[in-house]
Amino acid sequence: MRDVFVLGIGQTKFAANPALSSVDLATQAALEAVQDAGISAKEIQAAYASAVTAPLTAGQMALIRLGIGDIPIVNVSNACASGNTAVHMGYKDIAAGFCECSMAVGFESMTQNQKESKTKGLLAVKADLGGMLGLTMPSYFSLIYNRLREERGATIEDLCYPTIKNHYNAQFNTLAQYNKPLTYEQVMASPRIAGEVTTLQCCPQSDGAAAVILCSEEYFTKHNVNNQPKIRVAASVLRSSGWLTTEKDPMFSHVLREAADLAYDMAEKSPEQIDFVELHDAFSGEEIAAYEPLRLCPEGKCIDFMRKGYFALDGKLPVNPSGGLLSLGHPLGASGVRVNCEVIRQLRGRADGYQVKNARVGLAQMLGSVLLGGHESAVVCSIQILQRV
Amino acid sequence: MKQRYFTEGYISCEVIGEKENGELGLVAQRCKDCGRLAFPAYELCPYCSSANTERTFLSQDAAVLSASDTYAPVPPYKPPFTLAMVDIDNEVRTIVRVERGDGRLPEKGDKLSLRFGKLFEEEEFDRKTKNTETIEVIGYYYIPADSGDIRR
Repeated sequence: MRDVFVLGIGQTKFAANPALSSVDLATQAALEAVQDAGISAKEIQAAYASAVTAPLTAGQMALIRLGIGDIPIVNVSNACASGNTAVHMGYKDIAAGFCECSMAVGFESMTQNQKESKTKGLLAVKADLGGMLGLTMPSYFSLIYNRLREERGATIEDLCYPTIKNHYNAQFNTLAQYNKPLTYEQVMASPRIAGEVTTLQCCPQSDGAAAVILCSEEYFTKHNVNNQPKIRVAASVLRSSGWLTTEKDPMFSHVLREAADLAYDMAEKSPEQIDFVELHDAFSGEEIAAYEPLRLCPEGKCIDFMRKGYFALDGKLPVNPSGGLLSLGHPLGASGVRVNCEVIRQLRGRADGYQVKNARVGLAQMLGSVLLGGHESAVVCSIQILQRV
Repeated sequence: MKQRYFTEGYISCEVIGEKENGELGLVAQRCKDCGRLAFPAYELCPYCSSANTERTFLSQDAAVLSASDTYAPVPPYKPPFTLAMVDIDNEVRTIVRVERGDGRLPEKGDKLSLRFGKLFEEEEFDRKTKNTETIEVIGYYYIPADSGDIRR
């Protein structure tokens, strides 16, 4: 396998943007990535377009506007992990030598999707047994909250901490939907959805797109006209979960642990060598539940580490310095590419107010589905580890 | 009134089945190769992909691992309603509806008992007769083991 490098990134602001369709958003991010890379769009040899609710062949509809509608374009749908999956596919093309330069573009207009949806209320996934019984994501995470309280001694204040921390971080991120810090009182005063989960502990609806251009080392050396810092994709992995059994505690995601271990092995890095993490925080408690499976802290210590500020912007291991899904919002197909863009921005030293000091190695992770797939426990996890070389 | 199982049209495998004594039960499968129990029963064993499986029924009892109330509407269900992650036969972990009436929210370790009945009603338009028909959608739910039948 060949080494894979990052040549360009592009990202729209994440916000409610009813004037733009998902295809419009994808086009904007893809164009920005091409400009950032300093190459002609014609140089892109393959593209992976991730979206969950977009029109059929949305990737082709977007890239034809850049004059590359005739290259191999695959539309990728893998729930919240769609974007990382698209990056993973682009990575594999370069690593295997199928092409020299590929693009992953993720996008979603949740506003457009909402307009077309006729149902009011939370959406349960049909064809999933839990979904047909009324299970939705907030309800599932409220069940995990109970487990974190029982097994890790988490308080309600603890469970709200990621949303407060991430909203604090987002005030420095001009691409985030929400830029104002939140207090615990504000979080708990927002409408309750399920158990202890309130609206402000959930990521908001958002529209947006992000794109990443990957290439071989030889291509990077020849075409890096914008003198971008050299960033290597040290690992890219994709795992799907198995069956939910009595041996598996929903508080501790096994598919996340498996994917993390594969990624650390592939990157030849220990978890202690990771400088910062952008991860799937669709719900405040979800971020806490990810610390241990990702080996960001020892097992049983997630609350202790969190209370000591370990994961804060100025902590030992900042998590979601961008503000995460909780502040940026979650355009489903876009977020997995966006977390890669955020990591790359940090490694380039261009994250401005939310820049992590001495950022050399970053991890981007997304978890897709969570008990809401075609089968119970059909969860997908994708992780990239990127390193400035 | 016309009835259908809630899985009809969405999951083709048998989730609710009739036992020899005529009672309804939740259909699971025991793999004769790896020995694992799976619910619901799919085409192959979800653990080892074996086709050598045996149809069986889950027991009536479940133990709560975690439970919470949902306060937002999840069509066709109106809030509030209770969901619980439960363990059945010490092998199956799944999420179920709990009808608890005015009783307290179940806690970890509480015992629940299986029931079958109406989950909701839906309207269906018959193109031939031009009439709208009400359909009772049948499924399963659990009640606290120490309560009577407390369906709302």
